[in-house]
Amino acid sequence: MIEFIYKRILQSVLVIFLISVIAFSIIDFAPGDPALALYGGEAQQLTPAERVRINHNFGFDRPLVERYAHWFTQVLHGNLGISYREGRLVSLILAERLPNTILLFGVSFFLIVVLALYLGLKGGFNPGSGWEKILSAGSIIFSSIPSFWLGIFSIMFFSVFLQVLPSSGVESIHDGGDLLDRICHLILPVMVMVVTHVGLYARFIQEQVRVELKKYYVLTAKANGLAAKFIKLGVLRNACIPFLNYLGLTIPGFFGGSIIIESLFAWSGLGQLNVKATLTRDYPLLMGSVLISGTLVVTCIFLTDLGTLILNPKLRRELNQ
Amino acid sequence: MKQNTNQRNLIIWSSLLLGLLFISIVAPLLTQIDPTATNLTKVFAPPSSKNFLGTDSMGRDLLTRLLYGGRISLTVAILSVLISTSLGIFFGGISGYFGGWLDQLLMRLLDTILAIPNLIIILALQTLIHGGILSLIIIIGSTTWMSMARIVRGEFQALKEQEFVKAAQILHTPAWKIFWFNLLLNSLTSIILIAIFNAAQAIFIETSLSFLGLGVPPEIPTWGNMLNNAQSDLLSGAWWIWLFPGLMTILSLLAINFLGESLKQYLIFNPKYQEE
Amino acid sequence: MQRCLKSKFFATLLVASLMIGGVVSYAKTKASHQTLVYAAEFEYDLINPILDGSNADGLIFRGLMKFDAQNLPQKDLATAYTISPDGLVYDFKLRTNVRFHDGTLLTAQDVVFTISSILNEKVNSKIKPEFKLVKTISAVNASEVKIILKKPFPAFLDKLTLGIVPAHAFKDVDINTAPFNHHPIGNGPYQFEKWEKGQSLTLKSFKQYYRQPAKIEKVIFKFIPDGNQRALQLITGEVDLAFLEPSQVKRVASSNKVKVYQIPTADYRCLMYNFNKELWKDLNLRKAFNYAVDRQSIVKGILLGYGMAAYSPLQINAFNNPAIEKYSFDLTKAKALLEQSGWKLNKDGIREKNGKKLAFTITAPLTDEVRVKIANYLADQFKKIGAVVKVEALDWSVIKIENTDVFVLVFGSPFDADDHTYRIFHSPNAEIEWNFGGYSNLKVDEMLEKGRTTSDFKLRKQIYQQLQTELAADPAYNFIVYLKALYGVNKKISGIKLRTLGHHGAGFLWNLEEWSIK
Repeated sequence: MIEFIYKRILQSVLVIFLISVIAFSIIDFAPGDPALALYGGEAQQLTPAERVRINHNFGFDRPLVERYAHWFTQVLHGNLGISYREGRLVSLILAERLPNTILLFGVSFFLIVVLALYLGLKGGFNPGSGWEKILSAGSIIFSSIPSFWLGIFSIMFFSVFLQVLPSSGVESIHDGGDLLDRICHLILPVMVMVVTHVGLYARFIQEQVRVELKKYYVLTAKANGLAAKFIKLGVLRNACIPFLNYLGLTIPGFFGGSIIIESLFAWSGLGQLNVKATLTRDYPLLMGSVLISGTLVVTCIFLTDLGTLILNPKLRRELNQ
Repeated sequence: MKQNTNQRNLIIWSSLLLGLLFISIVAPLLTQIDPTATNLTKVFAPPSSKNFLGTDSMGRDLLTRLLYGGRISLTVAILSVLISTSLGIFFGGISGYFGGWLDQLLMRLLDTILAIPNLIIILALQTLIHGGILSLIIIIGSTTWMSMARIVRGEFQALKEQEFVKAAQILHTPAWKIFWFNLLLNSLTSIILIAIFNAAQAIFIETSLSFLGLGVPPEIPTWGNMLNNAQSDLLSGAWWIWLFPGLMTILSLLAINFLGESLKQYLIFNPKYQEE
Repeated sequence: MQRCLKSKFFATLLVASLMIGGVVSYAKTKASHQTLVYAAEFEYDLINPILDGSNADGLIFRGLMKFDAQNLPQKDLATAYTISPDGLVYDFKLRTNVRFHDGTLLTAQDVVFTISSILNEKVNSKIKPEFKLVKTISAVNASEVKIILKKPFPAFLDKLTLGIVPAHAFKDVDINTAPFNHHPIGNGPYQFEKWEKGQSLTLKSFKQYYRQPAKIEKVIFKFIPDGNQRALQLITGEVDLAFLEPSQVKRVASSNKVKVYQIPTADYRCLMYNFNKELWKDLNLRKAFNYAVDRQSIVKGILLGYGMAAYSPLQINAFNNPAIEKYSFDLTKAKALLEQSGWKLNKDGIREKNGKKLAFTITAPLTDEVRVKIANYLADQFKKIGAVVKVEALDWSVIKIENTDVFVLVFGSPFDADDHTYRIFHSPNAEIEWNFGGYSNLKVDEMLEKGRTTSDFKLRKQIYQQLQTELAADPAYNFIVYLKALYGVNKKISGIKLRTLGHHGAGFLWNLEEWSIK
């Protein structure tokens, strides 16, 4: 088991390295250079001479391998480089953004998992009930609404019509910053995230529970008069294994989906930064951001794999053999 | 009785989807207007007998664009799902059937691709974006196959331990036959369900990319582009420019998702399928 | 397990209700009085006039000159200046009572440092091309600066509105990555207070400002990338000032809190004919396409009335010549000109000459909605005179303006007539930066040079009016529209003075230190 964990950690590190190589090459293949990044929307005013001068200042005229080697050794020293546009350390910029993303992501994810478990189990254990039907239909309906649509309407309703919730930002700019204020700013983006995602997860659990309930071991247990509580517990555990897998699988996509929410609610997180770095071709920043989000995703996958292992005795036994 | 309800749902939702497909395919017969024809003297014209659903910010007929948009949006969805499904079955199948170090290698490769933000891949394909739709299909197809691969791998892993596969192996059935008849056909439920989910996802990605300004050129009518245009004129008071493309998007997503759901129910309750 | 889940569920419900409790208190804690919140579209990457201009610059930094309500440069840090008769030597006397926000006095050294840093090859300045005619700059003494130019440049005083930075803040640091860029120290009416990255930038009134200190205590730039959000927050009062899109005006103006200002700008859109392509060397063809544009429709349909038809690059300038050919919409004339040049209609209704179809592509940057709309509309319109026109809306990274057939350009300057005309209409040479289409007309060159070396206002006016006549006779561009800038401002703010603005409404905040809040 310990050996397995070591091996997986080693593999994860390798994956992160691979991510950096692939991302660096893709970015190099893509059009754009530091001078263009610096000019952004004013690219019309960039003259060829200025372009050569500025690119030379950034060392962009050296070969790809040399640039990657340079970047990589810097990263090993804990230096992610300097943003083309901001002239600041990339690590500093990321450090400003990361907490916001983790906050939004963490709160939404927690609520989604808890609500999905609650709703999914309730539906799954009561097949044929009205509850199950509502959940099945509701989850499909809500996951069919584009999130930016829901976002705009929630802003229109709560911020413009009722005027009870702030419509953008992480905290109030005037005298905000206290806990309550931050919670207020969280409500709308979290709500949109949860509403558009929870149905899918809940339905997944519901399906798993229903599949499990039909299995032979449940029937045998029932026939042997085992208490419903224990049967439920067993079913829950078995249903959780694919659910965990599913979570691990959807986390990257979920991460990607938060980009839209962040853009819409002016939530200054990694997703928004990613879009900005992509649109302005600020490549050091983009590489740093890729590395961080890549690490987060790889860690999540590792943790879910570990979770599956712990929950599934069969897999563990195989490993020990 | 349950069987009947499911069959009925299946018919309802698939005919809705087919209906959407049909009116998109025959769009040129339903409307004589050119979807890119502009008319700046009547921008944001409300629905009327001349323009049944009104006009957009360039005075283009909304109904026409909606129909032509359906062509592109649904084509993108279908073709990208074909790509992602083939890629997913290929990688997931190899990984799940052979296992061992090959599986480990492929899975880590999958993790890598999964962990690189789609935006980066889109960036690399920007040079191809000139064409628009084709690159959109490639982008969506090549960024959504990973879930399919994972599911297929899991299914194959479980199935190959089953007696009927073991029996086939002992009888020296060729690998491709096992792959095809024993493994793939038995994983079909999951594959179809994930494919349907991916189709909905493709429509979603198309709208989202447009929202971020990374989609196809704005003059090409797609539902995503129309929604995006409407989004920038949200406060103009022209409700028709966002309502109708929005409804079409939601309607098609609903049809696809409900189709998947009823298909699943149908397959689960199908006695023939149950025996296995 | 079920029970445990249930209790968890109720715990979340509890949190949710707490949140709603918080909502009520949120509504109460709104803004302090003497604060102005400006809804900015983009966050600044950095603030340093050496590297890049921003609309916060004018508040934090002041230069030797500043623009007045007529966009003419007036003395600011300079108390007096002289220009040698040949237009090459500039002498400035400086105020001696100007303090930077850290308390140090401004000296001639700071002026020298600022301008020579821009010219430094190693500094990644976007302003560098503006100062390339500077030969030397030196401090005569602590309060006197001498600048010598390589060539006469009448718009140079305009350029000297550039904000001055304190030299001592850059000791032993690379200007490109200096901490200063994120914590600027200036000499203007507002000083830096804090910058919450990704959210807002706060400035506060500088009490030791060398003129009357600003009335509004704090100015906050709130970064809101979504256009609907900016307009909506104006309505709810979360922000006081925002740049608006034409389609938002009606909704915003219906709020009794907000006044919408429509301000003329020097910002025009035009089609660039690329002379590197054989097609556009034919004068009749260019004229034909100039006649084929229904500019009024574009103003009405795309700009929703907030703009005007364009015919000249200097239409907003004091030197405007309203008597030139305006190429009013006339399809008959357009078709006749094409016939004259030998472009005949074939059986499909497309014009051909020597077996070649009249076909080209209009390119526009994807990020600029107005440009893309114009391109699409015109492509559709040009079908009417038998041309086959495609539109390519591309990302800047894959655009090479020199290689396009026709490009939708944005130009215009509210300042000296020389400022943008010389750089875009003079025949290409190493010094000409923006003549992407390779337009070359010796008469135009001559007048541009004469305009540079003439100082008499009336004579200059004549020269630039002739220039416009010649540009209309031999068109380099197909001028389409001038835009109006639209700003929504909370009615509690007074003291706003309007002047002709630049691109994307640049310059609206020019007299912000005189504004006040009721």
